[in-house]
Amino acid sequence: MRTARREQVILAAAQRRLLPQAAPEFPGYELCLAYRPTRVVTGDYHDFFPRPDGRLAVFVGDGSGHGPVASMLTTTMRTILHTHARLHRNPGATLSRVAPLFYATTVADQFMTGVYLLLGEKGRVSWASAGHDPPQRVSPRGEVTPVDLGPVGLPLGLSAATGYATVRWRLCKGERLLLFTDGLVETRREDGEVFGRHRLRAGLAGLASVPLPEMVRRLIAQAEAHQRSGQFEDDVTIVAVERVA
Amino acid sequence: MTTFKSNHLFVERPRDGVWVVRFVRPDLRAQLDDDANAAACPLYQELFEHALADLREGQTVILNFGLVEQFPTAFYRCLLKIRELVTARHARLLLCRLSPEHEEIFRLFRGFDLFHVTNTEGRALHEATAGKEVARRVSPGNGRKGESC
Repeated sequence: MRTARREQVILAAAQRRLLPQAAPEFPGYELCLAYRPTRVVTGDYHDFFPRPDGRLAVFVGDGSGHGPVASMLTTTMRTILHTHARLHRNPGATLSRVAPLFYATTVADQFMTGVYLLLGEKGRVSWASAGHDPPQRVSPRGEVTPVDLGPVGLPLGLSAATGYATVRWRLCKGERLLLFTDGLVETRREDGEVFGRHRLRAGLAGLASVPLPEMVRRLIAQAEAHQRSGQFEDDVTIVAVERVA
Repeated sequence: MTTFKSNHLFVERPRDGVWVVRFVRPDLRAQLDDDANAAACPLYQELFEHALADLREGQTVILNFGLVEQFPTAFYRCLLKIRELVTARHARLLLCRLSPEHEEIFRLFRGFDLFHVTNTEGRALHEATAGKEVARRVSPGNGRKGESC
């Protein structure tokens, strides 16, 4: 067992080296990353892709399951996104191109949900989702846009030939987006009640006026306080974005 | 009519060719804990032994989620595995009594495109015996996981 544990620790260290430890700086936006793996290795995957046209793509994904098996899914997705530069088009086209590659390289009962966000000039953003919570959009006054699951497609790995829609938004200065994995909203109290998306939205509304990193820190604190144990059951990843110019 | 009862499942065969499986615990996570292979998890194994092993073409399995509270992605993986088997046998899979929380997950995963869901077990039983129209109406899947349930 000691050898197995040591190998897990080595695997975790290798995985950490593959994942960005901080969000990049990007003109016109402030970005903030929080990453809380619950096990030694994780099924959450986040990454940033500077594009030749000056835009920045953000991917946040969540592999099914936990631990080493889920970590294999993250590595597979990372390999696909990093080695096929021509995949990176508009978000819907990108996920539509990723889908058959991921499908072909994973087994039948494993999948990954993910959201692909593209940040452009003057607040122009677009996103596509594969079975993943769409970005939460928050105005500077704390108004949280209702989530529309209509554009959300199948999780990746469930179909080789499935399409994904691209949603385009124009953010005002001060508007924020929150990408997150479900470990944040599915954290549970002892009586089984989840933190839930409604509490997340309430938290986002109430924290609209605090600086972005503080908002992320307090959201995590709210979810931890809900659970009381201070230890998430599932990995948690947050990428928060604010248009600043 | 009862064919099997355990701490996790209650399996009935109310009529020839129809199995009804009721999950009898709100939290089945301990029975779903196999990250490597959904088919190896205890819940799938139990389901397979008592409701899926003898499934033949044209027969129906109804899964009743009325007592289930916790619905982790491992449960969804287990459902995908069941769907794969049912489709391969040219049988039908119907789900019923999803809670609003389950439905939220199904909407996010587009589960309603893959699974046929009814509000009540009675409705599912009715559809199980209402001919093969149901199978034709279920959304198409894909080559690896089958065409319909």
